[in-house]
Amino acid sequence: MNAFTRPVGRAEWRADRWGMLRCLAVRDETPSTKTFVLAPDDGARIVYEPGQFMTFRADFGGEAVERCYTLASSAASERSVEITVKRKPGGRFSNHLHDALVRGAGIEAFGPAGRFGPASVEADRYVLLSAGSGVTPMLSVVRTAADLGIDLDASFIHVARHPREIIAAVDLVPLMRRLPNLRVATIATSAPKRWRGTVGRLQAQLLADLVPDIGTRAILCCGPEGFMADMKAAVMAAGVAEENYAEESFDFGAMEEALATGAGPTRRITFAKSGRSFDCPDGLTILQAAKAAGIPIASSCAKGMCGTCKCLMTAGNVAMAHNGGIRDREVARGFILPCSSRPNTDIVLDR
Amino acid sequence: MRHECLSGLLRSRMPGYSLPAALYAGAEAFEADLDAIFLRSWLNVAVVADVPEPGDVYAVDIGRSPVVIVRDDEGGIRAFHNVCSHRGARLVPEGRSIVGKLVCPYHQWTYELTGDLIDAPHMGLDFDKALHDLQPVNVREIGGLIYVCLSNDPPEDIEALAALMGQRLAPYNLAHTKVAAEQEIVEHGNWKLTVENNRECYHCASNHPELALSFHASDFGFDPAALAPEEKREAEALATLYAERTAAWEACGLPSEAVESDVLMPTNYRTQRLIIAGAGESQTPNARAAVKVPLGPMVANGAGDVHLWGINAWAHFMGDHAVVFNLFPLGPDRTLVRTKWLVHEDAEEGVDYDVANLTAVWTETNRQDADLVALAHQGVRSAGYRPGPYSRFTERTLNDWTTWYVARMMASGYA
Repeated sequence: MNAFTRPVGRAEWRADRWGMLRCLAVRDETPSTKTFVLAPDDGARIVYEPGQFMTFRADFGGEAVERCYTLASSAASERSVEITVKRKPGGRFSNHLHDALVRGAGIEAFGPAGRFGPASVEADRYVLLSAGSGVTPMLSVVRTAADLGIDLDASFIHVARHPREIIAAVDLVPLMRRLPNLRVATIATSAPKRWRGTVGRLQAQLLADLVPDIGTRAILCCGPEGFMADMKAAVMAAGVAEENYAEESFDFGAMEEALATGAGPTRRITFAKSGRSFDCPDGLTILQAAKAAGIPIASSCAKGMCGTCKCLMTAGNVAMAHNGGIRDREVARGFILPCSSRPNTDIVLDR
Repeated sequence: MRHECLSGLLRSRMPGYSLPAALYAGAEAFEADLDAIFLRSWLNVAVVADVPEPGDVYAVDIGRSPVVIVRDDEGGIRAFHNVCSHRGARLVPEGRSIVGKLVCPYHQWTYELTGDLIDAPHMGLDFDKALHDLQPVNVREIGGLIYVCLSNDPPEDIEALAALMGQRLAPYNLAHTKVAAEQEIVEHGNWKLTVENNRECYHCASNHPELALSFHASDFGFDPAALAPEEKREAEALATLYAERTAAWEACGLPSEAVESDVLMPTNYRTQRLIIAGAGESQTPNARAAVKVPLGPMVANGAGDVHLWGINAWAHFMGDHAVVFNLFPLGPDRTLVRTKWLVHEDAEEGVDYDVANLTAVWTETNRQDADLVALAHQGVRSAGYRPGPYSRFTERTLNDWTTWYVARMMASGYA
């Protein structure tokens, strides 16, 4: 048996518990970005939808640190998954991956999870709008479409700071051959004179020029908060209905690592029944923030296992990485574990 | 020596007669029943539809012993004493819940659905969690019915019931049913009077007008001399019809003949495929199917009613739905009867069935039976009570039941 041999008797990878993934390969995307190819040792199939993320855990001197990364690979390939990670100055998790996750190394992983992507926004035509690392779910969308023969009608618009930071730039051209109704536009905020692509900021006018029929399309948007806010305003003004717009923070890892430099957004947590509310600084779990604010939440293990803190979230969305203390079908009904959830938006809890 | 009095009562039971009063109403007999019957027998306490998915748990109280039934992460069914290994607090509230893990509400000791203790805060590094797993309870799934036995030495004759009912219930596909309705009723009588009332239909014609429309009371025996000529012709016609139908059912792979356990064996049961009266489809007010989606293709039409009796349970399996009854002793004079109506998991309430119609017959019949059991219990407490004679035509099965009961008590050291 060699690496090409078809695995037999493959189970499905369990999305609701932590497991171990092995790094099969690493490749450079840009000077600061690497893609890691990961797979379970036992050949289990990782089943997911393009746009979903996995949570990864590493040990830093006894402290377990978790980060979420969107899968960038084709969901048609169930034998391995890929994440694409930018090395951030001072970001200990991304530096750890770049330094330690070499071919043959293992990493703990949880998921896939999340509800971002074309599987949850029904439409005939899409606009895939991304900036920076936010391109990763869009890459999964187009790679999946090409592999599954889906006739994807989409405008793929990606913004990078500099042409050399465009992730997977060389992969997009052959994808356009396989997807005749895919149009790709890459925009660099600044570029050398000899670059032939579009240079500047992506604003409403440019967006309208690139996608004249944007009002008839569903929009998937992923990138930094400011980018997403601008894009949402622009597409709403162009006549896109609220239910045809979906967004995802560009990667949770980046948000959390921003905490180390104290730069991330603070979210408001509101308890609907008691009327109490408090701020959750970026990087803290809802439970940690509640405790810091002096507001009681019954809890015990604080690691997503016992389920003591389980409650219903009636508004907002969170990044949750638990340890089996909550069932997928409870999550589908809106339940979360505050001890394992970091808010992506303002949150309302039914308590 | 403690059992001297019970021993005397058990020995004084006359064949063909009901039990001495103190065996029905006495506190000492109740304690002995919990020990000899409820802690040692295989009991049907749940159905697979109570725990359809991993993480579903269902808790029942068998006497004073809480038990939790669990659908584990691999889809298997397990049962545990519903008691924390720490200081004994009850883990899961009665009824159905969804859990990630089994977590004690008191100090949050946390168990996997396999029963393994995986987290016990503040117990120290030298604490060996492996010594404090949940205590498993023997569990068997038979054709979609969940049986448990609290004894560490469970009766082996459950195999006979498993072989018999596994085959008979397979066409009813209980793994693909859901609980469409559930009712609890507390009967003010001893649990043995509940069983006796259930095992004869002598009382049916006069007390159960709703059930009688879909149920042949004479299925459970009659005295030919007591019948008017017209009734006698009907009874004979029914006997002929039974012979024909049973042969026809058996020929198409639906076992139907009456099968009873030996009265001296620990696991007591009787089953038979019965003819449904009237329109012949189901136990509903008009004897027509209450549910548009049948339980399975083999039983979609004309397959009658598979009737099953057990120690603490009885049930009817029809083409469109099943009704399962479980009794739980609460005290010498109080018995919980829990009724579940099961329909195909794809059947949609309000579209494929109407709950009021589905439950009408047994809601009435249960209420009527509760009244009869209360009357019987009031009588056995009276100074005027004497054990009375069972009819050899209509109550032969009660004599068998009482004989079984006395034998089990004696086998458990109460004589």
